[in-house]
Amino acid sequence: MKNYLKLVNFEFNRLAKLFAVLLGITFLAQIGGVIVLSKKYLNVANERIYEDMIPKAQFIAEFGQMNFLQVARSAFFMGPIALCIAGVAFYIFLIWYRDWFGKNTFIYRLLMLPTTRLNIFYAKLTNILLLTFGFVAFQIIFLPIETTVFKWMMPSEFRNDMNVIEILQSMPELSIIFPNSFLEFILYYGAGLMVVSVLFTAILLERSFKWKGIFAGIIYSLVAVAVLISPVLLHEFVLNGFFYPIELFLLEIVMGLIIIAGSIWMSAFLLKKKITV
Amino acid sequence: MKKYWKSTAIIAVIVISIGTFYINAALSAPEYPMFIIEKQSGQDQALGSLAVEGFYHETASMNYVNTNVTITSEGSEYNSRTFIDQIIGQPAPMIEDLQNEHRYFMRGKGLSTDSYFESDQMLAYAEATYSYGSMGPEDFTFDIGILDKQTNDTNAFTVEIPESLEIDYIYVEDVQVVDNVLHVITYNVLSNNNNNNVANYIYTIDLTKETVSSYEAVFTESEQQEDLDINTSLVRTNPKQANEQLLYLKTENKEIEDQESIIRIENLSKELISYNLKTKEKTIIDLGERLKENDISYYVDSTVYLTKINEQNLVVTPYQLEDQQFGNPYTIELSGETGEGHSPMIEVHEGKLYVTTRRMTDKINANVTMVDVKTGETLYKGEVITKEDKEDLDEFELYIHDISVR
Amino acid sequence: MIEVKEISKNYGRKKILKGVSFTANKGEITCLIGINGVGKTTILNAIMALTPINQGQILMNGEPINEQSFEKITFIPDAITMLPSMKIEDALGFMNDFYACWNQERATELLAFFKLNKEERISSLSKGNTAKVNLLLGLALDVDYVLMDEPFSGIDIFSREEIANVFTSHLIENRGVIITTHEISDIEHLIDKVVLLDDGKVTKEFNAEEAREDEGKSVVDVMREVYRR
Repeated sequence: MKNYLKLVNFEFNRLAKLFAVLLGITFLAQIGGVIVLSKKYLNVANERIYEDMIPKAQFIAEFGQMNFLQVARSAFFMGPIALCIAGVAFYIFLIWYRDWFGKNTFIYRLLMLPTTRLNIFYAKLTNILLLTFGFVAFQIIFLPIETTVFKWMMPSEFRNDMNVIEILQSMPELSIIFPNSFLEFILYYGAGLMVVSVLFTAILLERSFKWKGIFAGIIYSLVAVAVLISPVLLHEFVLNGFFYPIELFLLEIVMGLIIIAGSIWMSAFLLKKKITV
Repeated sequence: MKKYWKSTAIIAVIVISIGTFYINAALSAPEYPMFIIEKQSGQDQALGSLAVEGFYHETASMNYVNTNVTITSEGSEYNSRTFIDQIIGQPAPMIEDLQNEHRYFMRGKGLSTDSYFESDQMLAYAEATYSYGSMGPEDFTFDIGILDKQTNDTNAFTVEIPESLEIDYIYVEDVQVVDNVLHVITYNVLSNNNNNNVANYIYTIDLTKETVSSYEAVFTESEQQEDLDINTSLVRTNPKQANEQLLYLKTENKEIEDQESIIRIENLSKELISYNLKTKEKTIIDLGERLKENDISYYVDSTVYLTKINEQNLVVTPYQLEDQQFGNPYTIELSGETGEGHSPMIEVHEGKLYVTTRRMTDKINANVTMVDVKTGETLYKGEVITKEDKEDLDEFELYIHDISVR
Repeated sequence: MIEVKEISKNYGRKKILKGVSFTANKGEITCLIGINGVGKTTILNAIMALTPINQGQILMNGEPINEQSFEKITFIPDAITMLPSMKIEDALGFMNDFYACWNQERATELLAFFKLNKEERISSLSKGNTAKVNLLLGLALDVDYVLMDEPFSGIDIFSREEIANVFTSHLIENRGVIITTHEISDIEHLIDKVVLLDDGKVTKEFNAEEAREDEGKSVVDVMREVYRR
């Protein structure tokens, strides 16, 4: 346990720079979006009100007030989020491969630590979670800052204020990242954890068996998908809708847990018996 | 400890930020008013387990989401939109009861109350299913399920629906078992040679041979006249109720466009027709002028209930099919809205007739009345009210769509 | 004692090791000698469970090697096992964090011995100094056995001498060392035992001192005899 925590900390220090850079880009781009888009709206407003001599009230009635969602739906806001998602996806692979490749041979050190090698697996998995939750947490912190900047930029008669929860709940496209309830949060990110554990196993298969391992990894992933959807397929095509929805839901959770357990078992085996530097 | 600060800090940020977010999200969950049926007159326990179901929505709010609410004399319960509730789904109370009672039998069964028939001896189920072919839906079959309540034996099978090729769409409107013969009453949309027809069919299923022993189109209307709408539908009844006679109301409506190009629907004719499942005879029931004036609201225990709004009153006229006689009409006083499109909900259960008005807002209350079907005597009179002071509530509307006595 | 028993290893269809057996004792320096590509590194990797073997068994003091063994046995590969971005001091800290057998005093002593600056980053070290840090990381562990893979390859002559000096010092005393090399001149006089490898097999296993005293042959002489055949 102690070694696991030390490894988690060590791995986190390694990714801290990337994390900080992505957070910085996110913050700057989103704040930039607030400023640019508010300015744009105000410019149009000025033009219409002072040059075309349209009364303010009429302009607001015609053009509508600006709310934060217009910023949140723009590329300024969504772009960095997509970048962070891509960063996490990329890091799932990088977190393993960087220890094999390059000048150093850090994988020797990791595999020679006097602690169970599964701790390396857990520590890397934990770091993917920390990276992901870190982005989510900071986005939640950035939002009120951004809405405050928005309030500074926009005179109150032109804007329609929303709080963080209203903003996130009005954006179904973000509901996978910011689920509406804590239970969904656990379920969605639990599913994410399952996917990452399967990918890690596939990576370790590749690291153990090289070319053949790539096929083994793909087959392993397909088996995981098959196991996951097997209750639904059985339910639909064999059992004629035998299960009640809640039963099917619980079965799916069990299947997810089986896949996670299977991946951990498989990875432990590979790290112990098959891995090669 | 210096080297641990980054990971310690990030974990703290994650826990605090996400934790605060979800605590706030939970606290800011919409708060709905508590509805209750409050007695105005009558016996205390008279209302029993009447449940009124309605859609609640806040008129001022930007989202037009309706939330289903069940109101009893004890209080109200909203169908929560939580994740788990969305997964479980929210079947009608009758289906929910059946699922609780016959959990195994109800597996894989549809959620339409019309697909079920229940008596002391048995529970029968029929549903039309199909597969998607290249030309749209095809291979229509009936899924049949029979549960013998005494022995707990089940019998389940599928039968092909005859003339399946012509069927575009089929909906099971009712299931009846008369003298151990299963009848599946359906509404079909048929197409042959590019003619679209709608028809009311009755299929008779032989439970021992597991075949369709006979079938018949009781009514067929071709959908050709553009402004004329002829529609034959079953009169609303208790879905569990055994009826040897089916009651159809055939209406002929014409669309009339007036000068301001507002489309108005004018009723040309109405006909009440009974169909006897045993003898397969159709009979036109002559209700005279009363059919034109009244709505055919409910049909149970071979009695038809005709209703008519008269200013603030609802006039109910029972008609006994067997002796072909009208009973004494009785008048039920309504408050609230009684205009077009808001005709009250009626339900007859064990000799009592329940009436509720359709709409309630922060200005008007809905009311609930229970009368004795034989005497017309008002046994209970009550109102749906909110526990909260209405002044404190946002503008809302409650649209009552169902009442049931469990 | 480390016992390597009949180990075989294939890379695809190619057989690298075809039943290699030898033993290495505590307090002795055992040298694996063979031309490049003969599988010396593979043997060391296999001992440390860094690569699977197809057949055979490897025991340390009669027990199979597992993660607990890494407090008793360590491996110094031919490339450094720390991240380039780390300072030497961070690398020492890392070792101290994870190994109960880490000896900080000895690490300090070795730093002085090799004249290394602990503030320096690994990425900025010269080849010779990188090799020294790598050696330091292994030797500052209080372990019974140290495996070294080509400690002298690609290093300037002065660094070689410094490293060779380690072998005669108290830093090696009482430990079992397994060292691979294809060039033994630097350490010939230090070696206790020689294992000659060819074509995936052990062609000869002999005691260097005995060969010298009884037959008057140096290790290189024996090698010539064996490989000329």
